[in-house]
Amino acid sequence: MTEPLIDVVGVEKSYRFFRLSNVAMRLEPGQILGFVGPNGAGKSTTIRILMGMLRAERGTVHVLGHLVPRDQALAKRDIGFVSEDMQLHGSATLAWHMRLVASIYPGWDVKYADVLLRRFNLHAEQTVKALSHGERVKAVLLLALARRPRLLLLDEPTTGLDPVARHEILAELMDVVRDERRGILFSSHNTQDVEQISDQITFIDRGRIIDSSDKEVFLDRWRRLHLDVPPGTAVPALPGAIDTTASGRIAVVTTNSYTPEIDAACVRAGLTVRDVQRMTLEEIFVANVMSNRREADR
Amino acid sequence: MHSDVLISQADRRPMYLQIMEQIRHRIAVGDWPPGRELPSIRALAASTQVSVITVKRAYLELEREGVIVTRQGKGSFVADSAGLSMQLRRDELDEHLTAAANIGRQLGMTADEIADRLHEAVKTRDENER
Amino acid sequence: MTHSVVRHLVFKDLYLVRWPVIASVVAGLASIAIMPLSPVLAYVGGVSFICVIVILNIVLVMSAVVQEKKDKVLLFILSLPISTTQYTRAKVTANAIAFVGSLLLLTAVAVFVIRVSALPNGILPFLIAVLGYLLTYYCVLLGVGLASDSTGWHTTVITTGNISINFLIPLLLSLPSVVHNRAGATAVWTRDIVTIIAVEIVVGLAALAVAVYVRSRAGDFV
Repeated sequence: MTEPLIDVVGVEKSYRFFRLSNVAMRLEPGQILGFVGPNGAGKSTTIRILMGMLRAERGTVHVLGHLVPRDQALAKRDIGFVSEDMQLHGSATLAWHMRLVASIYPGWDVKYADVLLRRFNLHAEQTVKALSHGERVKAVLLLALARRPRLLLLDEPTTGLDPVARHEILAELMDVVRDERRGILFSSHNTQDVEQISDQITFIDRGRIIDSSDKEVFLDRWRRLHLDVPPGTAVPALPGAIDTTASGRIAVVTTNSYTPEIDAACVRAGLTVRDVQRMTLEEIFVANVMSNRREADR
Repeated sequence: MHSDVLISQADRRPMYLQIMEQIRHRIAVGDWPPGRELPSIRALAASTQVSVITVKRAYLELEREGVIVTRQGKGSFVADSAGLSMQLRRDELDEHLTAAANIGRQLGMTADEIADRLHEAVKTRDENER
Repeated sequence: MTHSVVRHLVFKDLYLVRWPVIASVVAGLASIAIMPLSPVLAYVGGVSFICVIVILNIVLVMSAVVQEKKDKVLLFILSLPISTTQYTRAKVTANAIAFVGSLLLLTAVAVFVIRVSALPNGILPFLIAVLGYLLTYYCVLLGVGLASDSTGWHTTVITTGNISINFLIPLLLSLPSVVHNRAGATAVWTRDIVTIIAVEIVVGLAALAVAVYVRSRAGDFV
């Protein structure tokens, strides 16, 4: 049994107005994990804890089998880290940075770096200062990808990028998992990208993991039922119904544990099931967060 | 790099179903003859830019339908004609049923009424066969 | 691999500050060069020499340490296979090489010029005491730059440091041993001067050591 690329248990960290509590996470080789949450939910904090840049107050963090932050230097030999707010040295060129990284990592693939330069439409001799936001993110990604690291930790890699750039980046990320020993953790609030390429999805809000599962299971489990509620009838209690909006003779039930048995239950209660809609990851995300917040505020 | 399969974002059907449909279509038009090896799950995932888990699911479902055959450690292959013709006939059945559903709805029948008529048809057919 | 990463980071930092260092050394040499020419120029040269060192001090600490943190370039550097402790070590090493190296070079040239020119050798202890103070100032600023993110603290140290030099110099000049010996042809290393220099070095190193220790204990680096 191969060891996981990331193994986090019981991580806690407090700030004055924010608390990361009981964060657990596991990434197996060959997988892509989409880490989704609103701004300020704790995605960046978690990823920086994985990189040893922040220290958790409680819990254990293993990355590539190494205990972090104690052995972070060893772990980082095979980790590519990209953060949307990361900067390079403004006065130097991209080529200078490429030489720096190449001199440090034996795994640097010169040919692949050239391919990426062309694909990302970057010019090596350009000074970093002169790069636009999108170009800078692509540059940092190039520096991470060209080393072919076993694990990629990406904090909002596609935020603020145009659709063409996003498409190029997703293509390169998917290329990484051709190798079943490699894996990617990426945080995003671009649910479309997450929905497309993630194998596992973890939702975080206000410092807590609120849901974590296989992507196909998520998309199968969540449904919106559009019901006709004739007078004298009421929407029955349905499994996993986390939100029910009823007005007049129409009700919409959002459930996170859909089975066809639910349709039958509604029919038995005298309701008509007009439509059973699948939900996009974005809709699932919002519904999940909203319902969790309602629970927490209660 | 051209891809064997293209996922449409506008298509609201699940991605694994889109993949399955396109693979079936490739087989149906003859691009992928029986016995031909399918791209590996990871290779197809990378070229389509769809998660590995979705491609895995598509392959599993296709195998369940008898359209492809997976050999442990060797890969997935287009099933021989027997399995295929099963699938093609099932597709044929679905087409007929869809047509029946359309006509039934146009006549203003409920799903139950249409289903009842189908049960009648099956009963009649079985009696005639005896 | 990690030791070579530290080495690469040191070279990288030195490369990035090459122009300030070169400019300071050139300006420093020019200041020293004019000193033997006349008493007024000796004074002017001396003052500009001190200014050059102070400016180099500030530029090195601000650009290499503080800016890197503020600009989030730190995130990129920390993504490399080093620990946070090694990062601090590389920073201090590179910065110290750049500053202390320049300071030593300029001091050596100044001492040489004083010895071979008409300038009295008796001024040497005073000169060394002043430079020792600048070294202490550097260590404190570097330490504060490493340990604190607060612009308020950086500004306080810079202001205090710059102003205190203006008090230090007359204070040193008023020491009996300096008054007595500064115009003489030999450098007289009296106990008070030597003690002052020793204290300056110890305080500087201690401040730096405390800062490095504080930084390495801090679990949070970004």
